[in-house]
Amino acid sequence: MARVTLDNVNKIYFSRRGDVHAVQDMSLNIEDGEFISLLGPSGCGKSSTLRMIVGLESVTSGEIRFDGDLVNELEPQERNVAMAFETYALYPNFTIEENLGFPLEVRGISKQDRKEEVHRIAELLQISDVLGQKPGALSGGQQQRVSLGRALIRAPAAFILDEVMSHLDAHLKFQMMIELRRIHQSLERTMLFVTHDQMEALALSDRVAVMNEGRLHQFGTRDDLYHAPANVFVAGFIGEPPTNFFTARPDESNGALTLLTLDGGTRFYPSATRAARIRSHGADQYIIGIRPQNMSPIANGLDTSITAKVLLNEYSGERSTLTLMAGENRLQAITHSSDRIKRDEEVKLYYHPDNVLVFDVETENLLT
Amino acid sequence: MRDRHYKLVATLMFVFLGLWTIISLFPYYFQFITGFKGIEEVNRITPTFWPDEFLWSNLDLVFSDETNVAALLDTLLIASANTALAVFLGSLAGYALARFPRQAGGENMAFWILSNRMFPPVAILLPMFRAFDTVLGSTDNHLSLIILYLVFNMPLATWLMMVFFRDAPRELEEAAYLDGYSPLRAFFKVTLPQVVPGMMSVALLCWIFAWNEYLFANMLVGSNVAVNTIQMPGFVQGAQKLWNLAALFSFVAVLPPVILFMVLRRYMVRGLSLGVVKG
Amino acid sequence: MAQLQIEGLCKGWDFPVIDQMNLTVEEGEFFVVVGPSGIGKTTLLRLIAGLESPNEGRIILGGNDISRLPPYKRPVAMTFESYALYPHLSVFENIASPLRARRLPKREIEQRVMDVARLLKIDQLITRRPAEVSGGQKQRTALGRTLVADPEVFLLDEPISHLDAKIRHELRAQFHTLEALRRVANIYVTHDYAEALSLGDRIGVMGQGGLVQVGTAHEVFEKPQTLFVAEHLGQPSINILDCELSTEDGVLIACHRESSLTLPVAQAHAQQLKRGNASHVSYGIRPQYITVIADGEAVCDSLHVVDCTVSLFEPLGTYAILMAETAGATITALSSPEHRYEQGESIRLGIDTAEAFFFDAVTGKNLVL
Repeated sequence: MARVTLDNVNKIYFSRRGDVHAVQDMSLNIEDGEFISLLGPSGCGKSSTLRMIVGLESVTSGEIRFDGDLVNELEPQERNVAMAFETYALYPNFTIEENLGFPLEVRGISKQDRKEEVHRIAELLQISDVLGQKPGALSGGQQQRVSLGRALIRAPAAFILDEVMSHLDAHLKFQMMIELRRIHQSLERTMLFVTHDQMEALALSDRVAVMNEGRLHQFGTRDDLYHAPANVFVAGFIGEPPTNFFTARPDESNGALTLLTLDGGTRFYPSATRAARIRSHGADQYIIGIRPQNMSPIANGLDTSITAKVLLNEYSGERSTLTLMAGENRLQAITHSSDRIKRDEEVKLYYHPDNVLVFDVETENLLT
Repeated sequence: MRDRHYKLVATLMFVFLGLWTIISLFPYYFQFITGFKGIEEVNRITPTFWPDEFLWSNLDLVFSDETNVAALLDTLLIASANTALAVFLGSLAGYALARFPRQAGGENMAFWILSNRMFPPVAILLPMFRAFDTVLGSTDNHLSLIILYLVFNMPLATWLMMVFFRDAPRELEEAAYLDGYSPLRAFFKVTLPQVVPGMMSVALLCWIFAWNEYLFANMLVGSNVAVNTIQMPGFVQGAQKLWNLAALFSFVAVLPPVILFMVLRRYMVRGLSLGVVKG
Repeated sequence: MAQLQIEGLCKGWDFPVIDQMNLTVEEGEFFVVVGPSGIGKTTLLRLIAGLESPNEGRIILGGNDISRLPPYKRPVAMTFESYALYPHLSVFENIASPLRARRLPKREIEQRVMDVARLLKIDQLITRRPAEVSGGQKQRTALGRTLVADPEVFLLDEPISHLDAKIRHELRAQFHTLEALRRVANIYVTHDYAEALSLGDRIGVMGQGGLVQVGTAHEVFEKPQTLFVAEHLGQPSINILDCELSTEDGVLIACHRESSLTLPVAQAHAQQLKRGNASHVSYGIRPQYITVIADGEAVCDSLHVVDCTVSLFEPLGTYAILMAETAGATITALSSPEHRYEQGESIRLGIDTAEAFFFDAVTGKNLVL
C-alpha cells in the first residue's frame, strides 16, 4: 500500500543547448489506494514527473515519499512500483505465461506459486486462453493486457501506467477503461495514470492532476475540475468540446450586475454570489467561461440566454455540436442529435447563471 | 541516476580507456619515431623509445624517390576508382533487390551475391591473372586492379546498400510518386538522400579494402604500376635493411585511411548498426 | 467535372479485401470512409492513388479511365497516415514538391507555397525540417503538400488520428472550412465515427469486402442497414440483445434468449416484422434512447420502463455511461454526469422502443427499414 507525496519537486534537464525546466515546484498528495491521473498536453512534464516517481529519472530538487519514507535515492526496483508502458515491451520469444511470470521468476518465486499467480492475473485480465502463445500472435488489445498483467503480478505498492491507451481504437479503449476500473476496484492499489486524453483521465481517476508547461494547475475530482476549474487553462483543457471564453466588462446599468462582451453585443447574467464577488473584486474586465454542454437552444425552464448565429451544425450520432458566432465571439453548444438547426439561423442559447465561470483577466484564475 | 556509483564507474572507465588507448596507439607511436631514426639506431638490439636524433632528412630520402610517391598516388587512384564503381553498381543492384525483390531474384540472389565474398581470394588468383592477361594484354595496369577489387567490394556494397534501401521508408517514395515524380526522379530526390550516410560507410569499407590489398596487387602489378602495399617490402629487400624508411613510408601510407575514417566517422557508426535499431 | 467513379473494384490477397466495389464520389463532395482498423480503408485509397493494382475493376476520374496509369501520372493527391514528409527537406520544399515535379517557374512555386502555408498557418515554419516541428504542424505540412498539388481528387488517410485530443479538435475545423477541398472530390478515411459523421457529406461504412452502407450521417446512424453498421457507429456501442419474437395477447414482444427480459415491440415495427415472419432477431437499442426515470417523473407512452440495479457508473465529462442489470440482462444507457449513481442502486430506466432496431439474427440485415 502506498501513499505517494511529492514535495516541491523540480526536474531540470541540463544540456548544452540550454536547460529545460521540465517540472516546476510540483507538490502532490496521493492517498493510498487512489487512482489518479496526470493529465496535460504533450511536453507538459507529466512523463518526467512519472519517471521521477518510478525512479527512472533523478530528482533535481524536492522530495518524493512513499508512506512517508524518502525514496529519492532508491532504485526503481527498491521502490516497489510497477510500470506498464505505452509500447507494451513484451518479450517476443517467450510465451504469455512466461512473460507474465518473469517478474516473479526474477524474485525467485517457486514455479508452483508462479503458476498460480499467473493464472490468477490472467483470469482477472481475461487472457487465460492465450497463455501458451507468443506476443506476436496476439492483438494489440491483448498485448496491452499482458503488459498490464506483468506489472500487476508483482503486487507493487503503486502501479504506474504511462499512456497505455494511446494506441487503441475507440472500442478497445472503452473496454480497457472499464477493465482498469474493475482491476483498481478489486486490487485496491494506488494507481497513477498518465495521459493527454482528458476523457480517459476523467473516466478512470478519483482525482486528476492537470499540468501544463511543467506546473501543476489543479489537482481535484472531476466535479472540482468541471465546476470550479482553477484557471482558464484548466477550464479550457477539461471538457470536450472546449469551454467557450469571452472577455467582458461588468455593467450595472440595469440594476443587477451583468457582464457585457467587449463588442457590446452579448450580455451574460452571472449568479448572485459571483456578481457579489465581481463587485468586491472591482476590475474593469473579466474572462467569462461557459461550457458548450451548459448552453442549449432548448429553454427547459431557463430564462437567461444569449443570441448567436449558427455557423455549423455537426451531427455526431448521439448529439449535435453547434458552432456559432455571437458578435465577434466564436462559441460552441451541444444539442440533441435530432436538432436540425441550419446554418445562418439565429438561435437563443439558454444557460443557467451558476454555469457562468468568471476569471480574473490578468492572473486567469477563477474568481471565488 | 545513481550519483555515488557514477563517479566510481566514470573513473574506472577513464582508467580502462586510457590504458587501452596507450596499448592501441603504441605501435603507431613506435612506427612514427622509428621512421625518423638513423639506420644504425634501428638495428640495435635494445630498441629506443625516442630517436637519438630526429632525422627529418628521412622524409627526403623516402619521397624524393619518385616510385614511392607514384606508388601512393597509384593506390589512391585505384582505391578511389574502384570504390566509386563498387558503390555505384552496388547501389543500383541493392536498390533493385530492396524494392523489387521478386523481379531481382529475391533473397536467393542477394545471398548468392554476398557469397562471392565468402571464398578465399587465392582461389581465383590464377584464373584472374589469365583472364586479365588475355583480355588486357597485360595485368600491370590500373584497370586490372580496379576491376579485380570489384569481385570483393561489389558484393559487399550490394548487400549493405540493399539493407540501407530497405530501411528507407517506402512511403516516402510513394509520396514522391503522388507528387508527380517518376520512379527514377523519386529515387534521386527522396531515396538517395536517405541512404547517403549508409553509402559513406560502404564507401569507406570498400576504399580501405582496396588501399590495404596486397595479394593481388603483388601478383598483377609491379613495374608500370605499384601500390603502397607492394612498395613497402622494397625497403627491406636487398643488401641494406632500411627499416627506418620502411617505417616512415608505411606510416604515411596508413594516414589516408585513418584521416578518411576520422572525417566520415559519424557515418560509420550509423552504418555499423545496419538499421537494426529503429528510430 | 472531376467526378470519381469506381466500378467493380476487386482487390485481395489470401482473401478479398475489396469485393466488387462500386462508388461514385461527386465533384465537391466530402466522402468519408469509416470502419475498423485493418478492414481495407487504406487499401482503397492506395488503389485510387495507383500505389496498388486492383485484381479487377476500373477507376474513372473526370471521365478518364485512370486504372492503368502509374501513380505519378494520376491527378491525385494523398496525405499519408504517417505524413510521409521528406526528412531531409524543409517544410517549404516539402510543400513545393509537387510543383517542382512539374518544373514550374521559381516565382510561381514560391507564391503558391506561401499562399498555402499562410492558409494553414505554418508560414512561420517554412525553413524548419519536419523533425523540428510538432505533430499538428507536420499534419498541416502534409496537407499543404496535397493542397498545392491542385489535384482532381483528394485522398486523406486518417490525417488527424495520431494527434493529441485537443489538437485533433482544432484541426477538424480546418476540414470544414477549407474551400480548396470543396472544389474537387474528397475521400477521407477515419476509424473515428464521430469525426466521420461530423465531416462527411456522405459516409461509407466499410466492412469485410467493401462498403456495407453508404448514406448521409443521419442515414447511417439512424437507419443502419445491418447490425455491423449499427454496432460500428456509436459510443458506447449499441445494446444488442439476442431475442426471440413471440406474440402475447396479440401484441408482439421480444424475449431475450439469455435472460428473462422481455421488451414490447412498437406498433410501427410490429407490422413489418409480422409481415416478414421474423422470429429470431438481434434487438438493438442505442444507449441514448435509454434514460433514467426519476422518482415521480411522468413517463411518456413510448417509453417502456424497467426496474434495474446499477452495475457500473462512469462519468466521462460531457456525459456518463450507466450500465444496469434488469431481469438478468445488462444494458447500457447514457446519462448526465451530474447525478451520481452507486453500484447496486435501484433505478428505473425508460427504453424508447420506437427507436429500436431489429436485425435478422443470421444475416444481420435490418428487418424494419
